[in-house]
Amino acid sequence: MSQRDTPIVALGSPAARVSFYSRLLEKSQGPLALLFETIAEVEKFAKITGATQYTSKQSRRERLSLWRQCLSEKPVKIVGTRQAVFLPKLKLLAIDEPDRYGFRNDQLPHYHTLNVAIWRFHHEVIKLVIGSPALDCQLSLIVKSGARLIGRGPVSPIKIISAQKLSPLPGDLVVLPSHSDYGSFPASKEISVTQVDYLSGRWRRAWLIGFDQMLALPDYAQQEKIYLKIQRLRWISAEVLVSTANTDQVIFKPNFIDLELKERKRLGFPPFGWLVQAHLPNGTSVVHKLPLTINLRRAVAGFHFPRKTRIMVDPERLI
Amino acid sequence: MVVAAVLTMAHLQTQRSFYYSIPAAILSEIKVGSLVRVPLRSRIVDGIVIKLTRSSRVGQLKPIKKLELTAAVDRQTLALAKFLSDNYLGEMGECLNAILPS
Repeated sequence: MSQRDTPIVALGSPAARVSFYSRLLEKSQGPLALLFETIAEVEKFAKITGATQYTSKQSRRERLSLWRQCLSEKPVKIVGTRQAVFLPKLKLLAIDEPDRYGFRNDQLPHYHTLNVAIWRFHHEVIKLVIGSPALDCQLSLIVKSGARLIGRGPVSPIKIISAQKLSPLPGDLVVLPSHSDYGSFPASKEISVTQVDYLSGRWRRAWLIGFDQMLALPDYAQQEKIYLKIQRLRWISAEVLVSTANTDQVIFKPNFIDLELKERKRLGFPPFGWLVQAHLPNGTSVVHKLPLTINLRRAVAGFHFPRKTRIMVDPERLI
Repeated sequence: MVVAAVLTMAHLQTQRSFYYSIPAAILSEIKVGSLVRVPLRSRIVDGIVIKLTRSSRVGQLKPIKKLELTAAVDRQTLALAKFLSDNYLGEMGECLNAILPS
């Protein structure tokens, strides 16, 4: 591990972060890699900066050529998707919005790109930069453990309104729980909550309608996920209006992330414990919560799952 | 004759390796940890050189087709693969496969 550097967590709007990454790649030396979730984002950034792309769209020959350049420590600037996290001899590794789903590998091994990057930071001489619209649980812990925080969080206000007072205007953005809710506000731009991560443009007002339904999924991290969607909307909208029947929810508290971390620690959820999901051959699945102190492989073997069981470890764990 | 024991990506899980002869053109560059292209049955596949030796029990060996990366797998790559394997319960072979540009 480098004794000189600490990770940098950079907060800001999407445009501010892209500008920051461009300057960062410009002034850094050696093989450098910046990671985005999607190929579209990679292509867009490459077009602006001229950085070399490393995604599944590149041919095997192109990817091997980049590996060779990195191995010989040539000053190459790379922008890629999650597999670029493995490029050798990097001097700088930057990840934009690591909470987004595409940074989890959906094939074996089910790694999380941020955890790989943190491992490399601790075991190689490599600078680590993480960009995000706001601090989530992982980034909050990274900052608490000594990372340098730069930039600022979103500033647009959140207004909490009663479900009876919905009045989106033409040109407003309406965020709904799912596609099946489309058509409720035909004059406005309707999207589902999962599309918030891919939204561009600037909006006068963004409405979150069916907010309580968005929180009702059986996922221990659901509140944090929705919290991040709100923070993203605050960067691209002058005002965010949230329609809820319960205005006193913990997600609206200014110290929500601290409270969430405290609760996860109390209950032993990631990043304070292992969460292992076993997909059994009969189509059902079981979830086991295990303490971090155990040997994971030995513990899972102890469950004696049937053959052909697919084991997934929730990646929300820091090293 | 120096020959190479190659663990092909298709056999990473079983850890079964195959011996290949090394063409003179790449003999000085190839080393343990190199990523190579080798014939396996009717296909050309990726593999990692795990051993270089002066003899082989097999008589007629097929040659390595291409040296892709001289030092693809070093101590650092193995440590990273072990980290993936330990934390996400993947086999070492699967983890190396995820890391390398194959």
